[in-house]
Amino acid sequence: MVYCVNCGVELAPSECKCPLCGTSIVQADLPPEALPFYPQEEPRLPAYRVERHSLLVLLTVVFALPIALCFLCDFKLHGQLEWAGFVAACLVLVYITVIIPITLRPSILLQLAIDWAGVELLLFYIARSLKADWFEPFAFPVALFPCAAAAILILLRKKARWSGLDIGGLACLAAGIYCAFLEARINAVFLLRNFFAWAQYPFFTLLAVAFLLFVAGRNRRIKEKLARRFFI
Amino acid sequence: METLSDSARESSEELRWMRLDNMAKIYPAAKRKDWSNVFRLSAWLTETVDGATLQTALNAILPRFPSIAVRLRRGMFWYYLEELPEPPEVKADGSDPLTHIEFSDIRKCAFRVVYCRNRISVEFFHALTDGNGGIIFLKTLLAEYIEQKYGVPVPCEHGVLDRREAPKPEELEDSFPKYTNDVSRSRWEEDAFHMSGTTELDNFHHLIVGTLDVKEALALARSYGVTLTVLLASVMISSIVSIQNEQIPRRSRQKPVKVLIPVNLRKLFGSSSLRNFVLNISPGIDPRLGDYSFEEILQIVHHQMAMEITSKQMSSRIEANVRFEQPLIVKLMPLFIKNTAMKMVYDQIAERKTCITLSNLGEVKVPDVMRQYVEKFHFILSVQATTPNNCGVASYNGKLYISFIRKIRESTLERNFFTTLHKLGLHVCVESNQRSRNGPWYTV
Repeated sequence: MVYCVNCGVELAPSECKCPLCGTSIVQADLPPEALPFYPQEEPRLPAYRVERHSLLVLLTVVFALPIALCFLCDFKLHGQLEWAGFVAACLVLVYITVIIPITLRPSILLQLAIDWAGVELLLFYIARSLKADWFEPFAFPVALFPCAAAAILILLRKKARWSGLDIGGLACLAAGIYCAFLEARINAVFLLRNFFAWAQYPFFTLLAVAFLLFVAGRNRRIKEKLARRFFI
Repeated sequence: METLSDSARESSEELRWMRLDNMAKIYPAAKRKDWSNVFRLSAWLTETVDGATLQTALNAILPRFPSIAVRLRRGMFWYYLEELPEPPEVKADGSDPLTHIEFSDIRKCAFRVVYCRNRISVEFFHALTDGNGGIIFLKTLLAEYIEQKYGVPVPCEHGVLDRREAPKPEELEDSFPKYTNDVSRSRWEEDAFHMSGTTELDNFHHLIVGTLDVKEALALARSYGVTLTVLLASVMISSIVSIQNEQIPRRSRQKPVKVLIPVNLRKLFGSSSLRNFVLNISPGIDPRLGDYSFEEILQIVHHQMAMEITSKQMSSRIEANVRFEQPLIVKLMPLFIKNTAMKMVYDQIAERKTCITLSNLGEVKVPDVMRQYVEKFHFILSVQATTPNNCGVASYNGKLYISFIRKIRESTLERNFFTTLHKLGLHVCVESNQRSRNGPWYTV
């Protein structure tokens, strides 16, 4: 039996020094094969991570400086806001779509909503600045459609657990419909023509691709072949 | 006032999900990115553990514990527990217990079974159960393991459940709403002294386990006219008072020294729930009033505990906790708002009122046939979010195992505690998971 000369407590055979006070064991007749209480592992390296909030503050300043500079220059040169607003709006959109996801890492649906709001606000600003009336009939629905479709696809994937092939098929179908919708809005708002000049090509192509993906998703043999050819 | 809990009604059907019990609701909200409230129960066998047999034993007993074989899921208004789709894998143990379980892992499986040489350990997220429920799970797992490994039938007694029978509804109920009172008790308390130290860079958890003879310890406690828990709590208080006297010599600036002791309510109210059913009391002293002798501390703790641990007092405290979740506006509040609010409450109240938790599981009894295969049991609590030390106690086969865990380098509390016991005449044997090699991580 081994005791700590400082604390007076008995030390288990696995101890090489007193865990209470750190005093080394003086006695030499220790059982050499005493197994440690818990397995000995290499110390874990501390993970040095950049603090995301500090990075966000830094990048905000980096984006804010050119915006402020643009405003200053515009007012100095023209006495009023002429072009700086557009630059600032674009920089803000880049900030929302690139910086926010990197630093704050919000959920994908939240990020999608933020991106959509950013795009709509940019388009609204451009339309108001140019005194144009295409925002409500054209820009708003055209920007809303892809975001809504993406949100639905994400929800189907996450919650309803649709397979990748089905999601891909639905995405192709949505893209085809979007092309037709886009040309329809252009024709209606800008009074170009009353027939589809180009949208039918991508629409039918994407419809065919969607159909193939849906079929492949329901056929186990095709799925396996695709996995064998396209795995990474 | 008695209310029938919803989980008791649900358990008559095949249980797929269940709500968290009253006490468990705080734990998912109180988590931090590097901390969640877990505890470990370990059993040391006489032979090396066979991982494959342990896995099959775990697979066999899980249907018997539908309140433990679960994962944590997020609802719109509350977290809930969902049945596991498949049994978790048993894994090899690491160099320190209770390494942080990521919340994403808790959402896949809220407990884990690890083994190393001749030790089997189960770590539970506290939202599932408390120490008393956890030890029943561990004993049943051990019984099944022994049956499969050695072919020895183990009788279902002393907390070993029959895995072949269906779970009983009373084991799955949230017992808190059943034993409330009409009077709610105030939970206000003064802030306690907070221990601190140098955190290990790699978040290593130091474990020191002291082994004592139960008869000696009980004899000492009886000589003072107190219970074993009172004795250990008093020694703990005395140890922390020494630390505070060193760190804050000026008495007027000192703070009360209190120890949080979970009380098993099953004995008071006759519940057989396997979920959480404990309430915490915090006996202690105020050093600002003067120096206390050890006998004074013993008497204060003894009387404080005797006053608190009555069915009426506990009922009124349960009422205070249950009342919080009853208003409709609280029920309809979205979960993310509730989480923020509960986290604020936890940070402001929970760990500031006591210095350390001392949880005594009591004597772990097993069927006689298991005794020859099981050497000892350890009960280890995780460190808290801000409090760097914690202490769990269990006894088995005439030995008392006091397990200290800490995330700081300094072992001052453990040294004070065990040397005090030694000076009181108890023989203490300590073992630890101290690291044998030094490196750049350990130098100041």
